[in-house]
Amino acid sequence: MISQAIKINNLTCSYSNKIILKNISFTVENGNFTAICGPNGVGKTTIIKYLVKELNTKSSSIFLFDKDINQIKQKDLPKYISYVGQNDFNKYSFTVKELIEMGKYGNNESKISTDEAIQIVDISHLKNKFINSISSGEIQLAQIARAVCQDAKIMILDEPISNLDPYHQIKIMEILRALNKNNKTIICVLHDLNIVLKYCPYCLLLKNGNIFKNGKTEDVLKPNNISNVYNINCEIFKTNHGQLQLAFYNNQC
Amino acid sequence: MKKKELLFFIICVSSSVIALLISISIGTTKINIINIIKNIFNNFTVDEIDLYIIKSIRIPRALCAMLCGGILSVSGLCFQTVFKNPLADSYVLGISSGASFSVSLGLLLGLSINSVYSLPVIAFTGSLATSFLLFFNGKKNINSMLLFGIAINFFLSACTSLFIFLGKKQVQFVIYWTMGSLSSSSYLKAAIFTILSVFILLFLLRRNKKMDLLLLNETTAFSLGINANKERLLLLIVSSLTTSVIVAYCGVIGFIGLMCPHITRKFLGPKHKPLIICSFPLGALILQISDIISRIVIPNSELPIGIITSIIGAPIFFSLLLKRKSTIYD
Repeated sequence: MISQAIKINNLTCSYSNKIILKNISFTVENGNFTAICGPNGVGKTTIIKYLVKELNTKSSSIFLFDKDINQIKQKDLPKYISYVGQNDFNKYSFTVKELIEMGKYGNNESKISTDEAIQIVDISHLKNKFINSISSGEIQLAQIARAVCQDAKIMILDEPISNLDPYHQIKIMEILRALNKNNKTIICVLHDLNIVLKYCPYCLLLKNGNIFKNGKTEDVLKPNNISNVYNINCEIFKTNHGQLQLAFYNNQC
Repeated sequence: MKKKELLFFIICVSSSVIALLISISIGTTKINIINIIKNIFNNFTVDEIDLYIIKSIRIPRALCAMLCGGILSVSGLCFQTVFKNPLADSYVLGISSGASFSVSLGLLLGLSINSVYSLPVIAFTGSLATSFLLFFNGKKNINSMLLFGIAINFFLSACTSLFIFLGKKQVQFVIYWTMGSLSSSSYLKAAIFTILSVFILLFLLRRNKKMDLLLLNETTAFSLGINANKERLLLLIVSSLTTSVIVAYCGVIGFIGLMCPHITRKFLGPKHKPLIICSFPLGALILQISDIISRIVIPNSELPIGIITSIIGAPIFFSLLLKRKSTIYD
């Protein structure tokens, strides 16, 4: 069995003379739940765009399950990667069910039916509602159900809980944790470092287009690393429930 | 097809057939509809002159109106999908103006564009150049695309007016042409439009699911297996091609491409399969009604059809926008 779901080797990217990614290399093991963190504009979304082939690299620097991404046709990509973006909806009003069915368009080998995806994400009450009539949190749940229905090996989420209330934030992270327990490789761009500490066992911390630190979350999200990357002061402590928690203090931004 | 979609389709197609018969019967010489129907089954119920009018003038014209309306409608749908904007249309985006611009420029430069083939080639060049200009601007920021298109529309229309002014007689026919007309319809044109209709319908129906995905976030579309940029470009080329052929032969007919997909979407939702199937007959129906009105509104004369489509289209469009909250689809 191939252990590496994603392998990136010396990936460099620049837009109009500005270098976004500088020779970055990292691997994501199959079945891991990895957070990608870093300040705004550091290149997190750019990495995702390379992974879904929205941006292309001529060199062989990205591998999905040991296969060069350049050898994978766009139409076959949905078997490898599903994607959920931030506020990922449009002004055209599909029903939730229609949206979830779109997961099947990409991967007709998916073994998860629309109804199963609806059950996994627990949104049967939203099934026949129109996307533009439900809340942002519910839209995000519908998008995750679409990605579940796609049944790709890796699920990538770009800031899936930004602008959501705490209930939906926790609900979404719990769903992702449950999916990960069923051996789904999950990569999630997140800004809330406490959420990362609670839910993501692995973390990739980016700074100025470089990988600052990569590894187990408790090793990566140390106060000195956070201070170095985000330029803010913080301390880490254990709550009564044994949960690691970051507290930010004396920050004059 | 769902029941609702089937009902919508049947209503549009049957109304379109009725409009076709009315279109054949109405004109300076009024010919009874029943006689026309009888004539279809029995050759001897209409006198020879009427038969000549029906066969040589009215049938090709009614067919051209029907097919042009359908093509403009699905092309409009294409533009709306490409630019993810329900206000996008060849007329609004300046793509029709691009065709008028190139034709009037061609005339001014003394090019021979009277043949059935050279006119669409020149019109296509203009509309495609405008489409590319829009696409490469819209790719960076799709929201500014509409404003960019409106600006292009104004600029090219101004240039066309300038060419008409400078070119005097040889460019004069462009004035009439920019208002749209079906008066020069023929069986050859009807045949060209039939081929075009079959082509665009098959082309769009084949990629209806991809068109659905284009309405999602760009990165999501890529992750679902389509190269969104390539798909948009392909759809843009095809819709520009079909629009430019219509513009070349019938002039600029506005609002059909904007209004028909919008009405269909209001009733059937944003999924492309029913939208493609049903917006074609709706476009056919509305252009035929417009053609009938353009022929009867001034006795013994004819108004340019573009004026009628705009006069019918604008209030329908306004009413739909005002009713927006009470309808189920946006």
